[in-house]
Amino acid sequence: MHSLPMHFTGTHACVLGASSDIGMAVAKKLSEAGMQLTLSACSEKGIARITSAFPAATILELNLEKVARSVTIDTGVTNSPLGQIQQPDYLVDCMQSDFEGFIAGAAPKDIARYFETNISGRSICLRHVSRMMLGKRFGRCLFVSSTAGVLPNAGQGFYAASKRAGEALFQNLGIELAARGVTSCSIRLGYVQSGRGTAYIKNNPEAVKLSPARRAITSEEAASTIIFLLSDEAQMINGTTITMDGGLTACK
Amino acid sequence: MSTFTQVQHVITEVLEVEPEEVTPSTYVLRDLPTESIDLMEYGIGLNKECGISVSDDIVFLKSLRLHMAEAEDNGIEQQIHLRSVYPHLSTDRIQEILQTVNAGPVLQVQDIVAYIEHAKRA
Repeated sequence: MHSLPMHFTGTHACVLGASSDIGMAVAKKLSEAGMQLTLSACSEKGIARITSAFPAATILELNLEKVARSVTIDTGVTNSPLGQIQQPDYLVDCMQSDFEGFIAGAAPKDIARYFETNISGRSICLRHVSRMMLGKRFGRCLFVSSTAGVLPNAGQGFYAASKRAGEALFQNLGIELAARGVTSCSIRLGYVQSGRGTAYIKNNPEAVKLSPARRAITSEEAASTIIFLLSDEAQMINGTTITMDGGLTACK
Repeated sequence: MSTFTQVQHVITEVLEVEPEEVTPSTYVLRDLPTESIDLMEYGIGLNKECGISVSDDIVFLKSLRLHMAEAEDNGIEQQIHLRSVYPHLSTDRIQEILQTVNAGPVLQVQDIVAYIEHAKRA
């Protein structure tokens, strides 16, 4: 098998939601490439998972709901865990909290909390990281999105809305800062054989067969594509969303 | 290094202009090719150069006209209201700003210097 080289100007990557299967796979590849890592998770279990797998990494317990709430009472980000993220060259955002419910059926409190975490908290985090990148005029940001954003499914409205919002944030960032060396894009993944996707595929095996590829994406495949999108060679993929779904969303 | 030199350095780094082009009385948005995104970079640069976390809104007088209107709506003298919003600016400088506000964006390099020095003292 042939292999082609990729190049990376930066040396430090921050992976949010690193305890997810995709986050772990991305962190593993970055670690193997000798990249300095800052990894975040929001639960004790997640922290234990990444600490054990990446003992040399800076580990961050990051609850974006708390981050969003703390700035609304004006304590700023310096006192929050965000202040521990130091000058990353790359940001991979795999963070996504779990919540499904019908629009008319979900509890208002749950809706507010979900969006605080996945939209407000994400925006504040992206602001924090991108300002550091702007200061050194280099940075590459990547948001891990989902085809759920464009293929509506009952019960996934809030998830879809937060993914579309994330794509919009990362798209705008790339438009605003590309001339200053900071670029950004999103990857919209179809069915992935990992994490919550594994359970979904098990319960809905017919769903995967709707994809022309007739199979789910592996974490390894997703991680390899993400790594390519971080590379110097992919920096002109900016302000846009790449779809990786085996052709799922191309079909009627 | 003086505060003015620090501010001058940040601006010349971002705009890639000569230091001679940035004096205390230089209008940041009238005399220099500053775009709104540059203001953001100035804020980040000042943070790095001076070790002070700046409020972009206050240091760059972004909401000056809003605060002027606010004073008028609440029947407060503009001079007094602006002094409370921008404590780093002297009474004379605020008076000057009010007199020249219709000529264009009033922010001068000396206003940024005043903000940083005020923050350093606090």
